[in-house]
Amino acid sequence: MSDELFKKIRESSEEDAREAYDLMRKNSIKSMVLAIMTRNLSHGLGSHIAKTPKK
Amino acid sequence: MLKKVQEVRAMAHGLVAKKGNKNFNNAFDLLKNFPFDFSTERGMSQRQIAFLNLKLDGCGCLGRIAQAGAMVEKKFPDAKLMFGEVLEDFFCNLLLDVLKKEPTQPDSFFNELLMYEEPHSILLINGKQFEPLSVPYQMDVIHPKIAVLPFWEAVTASMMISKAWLENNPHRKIVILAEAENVCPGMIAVKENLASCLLLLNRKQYSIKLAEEILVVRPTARLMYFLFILTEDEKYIKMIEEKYSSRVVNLLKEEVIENERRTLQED
Repeated sequence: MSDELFKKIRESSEEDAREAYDLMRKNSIKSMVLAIMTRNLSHGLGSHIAKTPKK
Repeated sequence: MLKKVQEVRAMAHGLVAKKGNKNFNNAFDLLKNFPFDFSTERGMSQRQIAFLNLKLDGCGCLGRIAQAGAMVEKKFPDAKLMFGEVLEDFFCNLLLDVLKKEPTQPDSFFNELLMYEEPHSILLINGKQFEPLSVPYQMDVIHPKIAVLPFWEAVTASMMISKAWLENNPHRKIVILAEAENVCPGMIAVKENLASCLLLLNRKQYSIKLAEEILVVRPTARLMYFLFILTEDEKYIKMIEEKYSSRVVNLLKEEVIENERRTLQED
């Protein structure tokens, strides 16, 4: 994985970015799923809920 | 060393030994007046939260319910205490209702919505829900769907999830999560973590099967995106777009990219 690939994902045309993202997925699927799905019990209260009328 | 259920219970009791000198008529009044700390949890990294959970620190949701459970046992020993694993979150539903009425929202709104889908737990006292966040929210919160689990076993398994999170060795991660499943069978948060860790051992099909089973019980945007990464099936992206917004897809994608970039820098 290189800085160039991240730059391509973020800054290039839609098609090129998609191609770069697919390459990242192919090379780094394990770390990607770990990042997205290994989660601790954690849950606070945010500012948007405070602005929402109570039911 | 993994802590045993009785050790976890003793640890929580130790943390509240000097708290709660006032007397109350019932457990709910006791907990509504308990000095919970809600100040620092927001914006913390998963790593920071893992350390909080292992200490049962009252700044985190796990520490709050463990300490609350210990207080109830201390003051109301006859109360029947259970652990409620939140499968459908009250706050998440509230923001989804807002989103239906006002579809244009800032990223902070969607990040908050994703936060309410994180694994979360509450107490059940004599069958009635107590959500510690009811205190700052200033209203009794009842989550629409929860799984009822044995209290200290579920607290122990939740600590094991954090222990597994901090572990780098994939085999060791799986061993810890398998032990968590053994201590508290059926806990969805354990299965969610297991689904991703199984991929580390190249068990992709098993990982997908487990995630699809969880999707029926606790359908979250994170799980849908996880399934998209694994299967490349666009139906999961459509599910996120329909239930939430395409912004949520972008936020999850950005989170994954940022994590990869950070990992590269650390290497």
